[in-house]
Amino acid sequence: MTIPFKAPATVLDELGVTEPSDINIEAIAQYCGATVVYERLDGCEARILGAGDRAIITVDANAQRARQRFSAAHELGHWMRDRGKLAFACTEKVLVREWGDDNPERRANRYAADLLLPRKIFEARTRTMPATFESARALAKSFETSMTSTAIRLVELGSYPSMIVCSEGSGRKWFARSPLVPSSLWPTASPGKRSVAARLLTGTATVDGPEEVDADEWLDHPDSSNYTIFEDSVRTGTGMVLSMLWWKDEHQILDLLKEEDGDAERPLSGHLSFKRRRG
Amino acid sequence: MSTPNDAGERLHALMVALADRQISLSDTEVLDDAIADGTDVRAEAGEVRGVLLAGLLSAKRQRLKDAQTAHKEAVTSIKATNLQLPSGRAARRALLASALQRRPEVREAMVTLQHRNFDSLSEDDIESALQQLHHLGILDDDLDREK
Repeated sequence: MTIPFKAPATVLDELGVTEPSDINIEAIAQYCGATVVYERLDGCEARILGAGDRAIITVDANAQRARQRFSAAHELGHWMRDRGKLAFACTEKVLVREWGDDNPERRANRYAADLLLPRKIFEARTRTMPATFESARALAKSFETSMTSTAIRLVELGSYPSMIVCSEGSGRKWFARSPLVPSSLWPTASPGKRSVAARLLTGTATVDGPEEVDADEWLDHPDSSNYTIFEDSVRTGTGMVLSMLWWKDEHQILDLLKEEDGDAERPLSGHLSFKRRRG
Repeated sequence: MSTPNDAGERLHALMVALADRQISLSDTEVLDDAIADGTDVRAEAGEVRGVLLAGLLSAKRQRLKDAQTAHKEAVTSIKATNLQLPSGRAARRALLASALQRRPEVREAMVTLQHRNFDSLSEDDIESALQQLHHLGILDDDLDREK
């Protein structure tokens, strides 16, 4: 018997999942034909061995619970999407880094995010939440997920225009943007020198929550020097810096949309309350 | 048809007759009857819909509970796997390599595994992978070859 591919939303619906606490990854994987076991693993975070319609997902017993859940869901993503290939072994690097290019690892990460942070349940809890790591931490606690995956989800599904950028010394590794942010807005290849991220990477800053910075520290757009954004940056365990960029003042977005649409009025998140331009 | 003597049978016959009548009525006639009896049809429909949805959700949640039970049983079964593996580091690694290499469908995954971590897998990792492959029923041929 071949188990057909099922999208995460379909699996969750079939199991009557309506609350974050219902997202029992071991039961969900078992329903999909994969048994999750926990063992000490030395060479990787998790691995999957599968044959026919059965698979065994092994997750490092020493990892943190959020990481274990994400690893199990990631391997389940391989099982659902890349069936027929017998073995994958995934490192922490894969789980954190590979959100950029379209490849089996990215697809497995996407599957995991859709399963552990389902749109319907997640969106209901993120209304009015700013795109900051404080919000991401609170959500990560409810959903028992890692801060990185939760922060990405908050950017993608939150109600404010925002971006998340992962940088290291050599420059930007990957980024994700909210659908509220026009596709003409791209982050710079490296964070500007006065950004919190650049200072964290060079070891000249300590983290103290979101900070208002000039938009051109982060955005590769000629008009960026006229605006400011909020930057919340943190170092990750893998020597990189994650930055959440949040347009609390949405004028840059609105002005860009106006440019693209002529003079048509376009509503955004509904949270716009004041206008602030850099002097 | 004769009238049944037993009270229970008579009640049953009455219920059947009433049901037959209801079935023969059109939707409009059923609604008209209900309204004439003073029934709030929308409220009744909402209540029935709620009962049906609750029943559906409960059935779905039962699947989740069943999967939890199945997971516990599967873990117990996997832990009970106790294959006598070849002794020696090199022999075990060779067995794992041959088990993976001999399956063309895993070529790509094999590269991934080797490229990333195969060399860095500990002896415990190798042993548990072999035990799991055996549990999945895909190591038997390789073990026969070893013998």
